[in-house]
Amino acid sequence: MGCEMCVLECQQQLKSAGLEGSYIRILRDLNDGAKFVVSVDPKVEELNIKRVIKSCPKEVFEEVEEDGA
Amino acid sequence: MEPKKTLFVNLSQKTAEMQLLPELTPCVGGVTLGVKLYSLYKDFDPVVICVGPLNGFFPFASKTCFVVQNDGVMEDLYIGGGLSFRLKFACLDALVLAGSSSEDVILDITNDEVKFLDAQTDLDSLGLPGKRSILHMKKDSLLLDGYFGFDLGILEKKFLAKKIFGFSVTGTKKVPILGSAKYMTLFNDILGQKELVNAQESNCPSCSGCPLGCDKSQTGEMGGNILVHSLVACGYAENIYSNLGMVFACLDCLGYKYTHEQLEALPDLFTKTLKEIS
Repeated sequence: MGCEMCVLECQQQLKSAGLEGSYIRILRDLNDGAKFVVSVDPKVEELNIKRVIKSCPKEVFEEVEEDGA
Repeated sequence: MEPKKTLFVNLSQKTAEMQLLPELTPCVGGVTLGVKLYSLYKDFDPVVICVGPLNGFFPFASKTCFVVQNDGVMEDLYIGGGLSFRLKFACLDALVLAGSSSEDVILDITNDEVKFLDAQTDLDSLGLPGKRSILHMKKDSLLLDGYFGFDLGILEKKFLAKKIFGFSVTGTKKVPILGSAKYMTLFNDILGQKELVNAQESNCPSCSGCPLGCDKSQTGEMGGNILVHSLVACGYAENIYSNLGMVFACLDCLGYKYTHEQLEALPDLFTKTLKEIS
């Protein structure tokens, strides 16, 4: 929903702040500000995923196994 | 402490320059910085856009401050959305839009670089996805990130007079967090105080750095607590960010060496600057 708490969490785990190099990016729709696309870099696996999932107040993220199970 | 970084955009001359003015350091940020910059550039009737030291780092420090003069009265307005993060990670403390363009213009700002584009430019083509925030005129209303706006039409009037059709701000700088453990403790402390925020959790689009998504985020704020608005925290989080001890600790862990006395003096500094303007 645009809070970017997951972006903050990813960057905190990398001991930095900023939007550059974040493993998660939130893309807003200019014509409809209520729509968002969440872009997740596979490198997010390098981080503590449980903390990233927990950072989202809307529980957008779900951890899945590589085979999708 | 590093001097405040101001990107000064002269709309009349279509020029932009980064300014480092040591006299701005006591202003901390937000409304105090905004009125000081207005006083320095009042001959240009500027729109001054400011963030504060905690934007991009701490929860509920989620607004962006606009300082303008409206019918002879200084107004400080606060908008939600993602602009504060983009300005902060463009490593800007303030953006000054001075003078007026001779024709409708769109500004494409990436860090300290400014492109002056014609009003037909597709705003969606500007900046970098995920790292940009776009403010544009839509049906005579200014809209940030397709959702966030202001009441009253004060900024719209100003933007129309300056012939600014919109702007995109992209921030691509990365800032190391030095005192990481202390920072994380404070971050989680503040996040754990969301019951102190005078807004209900909802499913509306959220401002960057705020997990609440409240229904008040769509329209901005106006006026209020000088310390809170110097930090450009959300006004509804006043119960958190009017706590001087907490604010001091947050600033300290980010490397801002303001004293308690300097923070306590912000309302006086604000009032004194207003007197200079009038």
